[in-house]
Amino acid sequence: MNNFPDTADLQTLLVACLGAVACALGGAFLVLRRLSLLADAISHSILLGIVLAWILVRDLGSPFLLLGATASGVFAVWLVEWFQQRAGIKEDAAMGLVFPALFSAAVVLISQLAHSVHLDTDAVINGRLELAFLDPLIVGNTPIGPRSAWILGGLVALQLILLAIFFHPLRIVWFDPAFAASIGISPVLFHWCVTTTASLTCVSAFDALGSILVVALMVGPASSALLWARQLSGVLVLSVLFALVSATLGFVTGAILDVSLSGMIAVCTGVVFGISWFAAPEDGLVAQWARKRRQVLEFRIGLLLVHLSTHEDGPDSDEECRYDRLTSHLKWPETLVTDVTSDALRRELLIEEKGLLRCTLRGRDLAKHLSTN
Amino acid sequence: MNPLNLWEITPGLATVVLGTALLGLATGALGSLAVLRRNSLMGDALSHAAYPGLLAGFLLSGTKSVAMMVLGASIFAALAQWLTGLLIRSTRVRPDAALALVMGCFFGFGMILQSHLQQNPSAAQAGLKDYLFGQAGLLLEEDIALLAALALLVLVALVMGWSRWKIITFDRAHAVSLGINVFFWDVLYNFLFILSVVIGLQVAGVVLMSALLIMPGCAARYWTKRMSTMVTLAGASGAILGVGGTFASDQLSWPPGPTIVLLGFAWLIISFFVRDIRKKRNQYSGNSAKISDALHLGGVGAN
Repeated sequence: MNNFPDTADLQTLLVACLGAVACALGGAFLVLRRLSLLADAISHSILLGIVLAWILVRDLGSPFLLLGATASGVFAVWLVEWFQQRAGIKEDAAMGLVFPALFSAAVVLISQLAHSVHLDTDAVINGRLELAFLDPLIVGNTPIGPRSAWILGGLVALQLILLAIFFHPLRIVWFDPAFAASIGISPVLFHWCVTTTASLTCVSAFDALGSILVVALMVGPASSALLWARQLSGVLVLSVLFALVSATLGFVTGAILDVSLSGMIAVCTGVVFGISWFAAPEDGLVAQWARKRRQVLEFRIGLLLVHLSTHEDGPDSDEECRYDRLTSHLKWPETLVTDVTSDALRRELLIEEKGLLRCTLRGRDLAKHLSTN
Repeated sequence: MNPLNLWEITPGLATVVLGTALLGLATGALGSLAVLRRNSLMGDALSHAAYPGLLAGFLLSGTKSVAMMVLGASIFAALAQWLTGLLIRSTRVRPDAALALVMGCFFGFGMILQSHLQQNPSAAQAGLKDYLFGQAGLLLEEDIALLAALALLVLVALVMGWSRWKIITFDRAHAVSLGINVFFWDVLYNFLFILSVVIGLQVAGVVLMSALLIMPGCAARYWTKRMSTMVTLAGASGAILGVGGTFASDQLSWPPGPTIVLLGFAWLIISFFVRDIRKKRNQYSGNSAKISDALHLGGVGAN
């Protein structure tokens, strides 16, 4: 591959990044609302809308196809809710029923129309990121960049505008629907706004990215962001950041290894999540491990203080409180005694006098507190 | 012309019918447990996650050896299931996000393998793509043995451990307090689940596999409140849907997997409306019983 990256590569990267940002913004709200799998359901259902719209207009380039796709995504959400509320089926099963049914209907229709339409079901799943730059938007007579980049860019702009206008009510609805309803913001209305936006996102992005990458980008960056941030604004900013990182990383590695870019970006969202899982404050594996270690140390210091304060004024204090005899009394290995004692000494819970350990005032208070509780 | 041969059942079609029936039986019965345990979408996640395993099995063996592909797919599905469980247990990530995340990343890896295969095409890989949408029409006689073994395994496991399955499904805490080895039964359930998904992929494909698992269970739930009836009905209707769907797809020349799913969806909707009508009638007869009771009591009071 000579002179990588060339213009086509840069255009592909642009499409990937815009798609990633659009999905991350649309997906963050689904993840927060615990509706992540709706992304999966919508992205599979839109095929039916495309086929039906095509039957009506008979033109693969028509904007009605996108309209039909968005409508069928919203219809899928409605159907899931109908099954849940009217037909007494649990949420997970409702989703699992709806999208295979809609997808099957689409596949059957396509198989019947195969002689007259070239709709590749395979491309719906895998996307055509590699070919996005071959389809430029033409204004007048000059191509002005990939069509998908313009569509996705428009979508990102729309999402940002909506977010800027509705950020405050969204925050209230998302964290306390009952309170939102009580101050006159309808959670139901916002639910449909968000699912419609999600549907629109799936529709705009699946052509370039493929439905699986859409799911990965909607859920992955937002889930990673939730491990780092606790505020809605932080979650949104980090989601976008992680999505951009995943898209760029996936694009570069995918291009170097010469494999499916969509697949590589999807794997990269997982890698970003894996790193977050490892390193995030509070919830990360390292943080959990450090916390556990600290708790164990606290417990041992407490044990030592209780032991010392029990014996230090007794007749056997010479034996029990002698630093080099602690190993046998507490049944701790020597290194552990050294670690725990030095930490307690540093925190001035103990003092050492001629090889004997004595509690300080603070240490005695702590021991009393621990032994009475 | 033989009047019995109205449908022109060729040996090939008979194989496919038998195969889909066996698969429908196994997935229907096992899937109704998944519906009751509220992890219906596990089937969807696992079928996506198993896809790279199928391709890896193919890459390693170089042929479409069923054993290697099933092994590879099972390993990936098991890994995905373990990872999902770990995510849910040890982080704040919600179950829905964990499923979607694992599914997306694993399938992304599958797409990488697939594109790698496409760049190094060989005759052996023809038809490998069919695993995405399933190709029941390609079922061979040796696949039937595999499907029959699966169905038998599922039925034996369900019948042998029936009371335990029942307790664990409805009241885990009670099961633990009774000293039931919940871990063992969970492992068995997951093992059977993964096996059905992996074997079913060939017939139904990645996208439609989950429907095969949960549609019969959901429909059966409308007809009964007893778990034994539900599982039996789900297994039987799964088999019938398989047979009916295959015949329909043969007659209409529709793709078989989607046809079975659409038939299943129709069966679900019918089941819902039948229950709805029965419920309304029960309400009505319940009301009239109450009214006649009230009239009767009124009569007694008047005396």
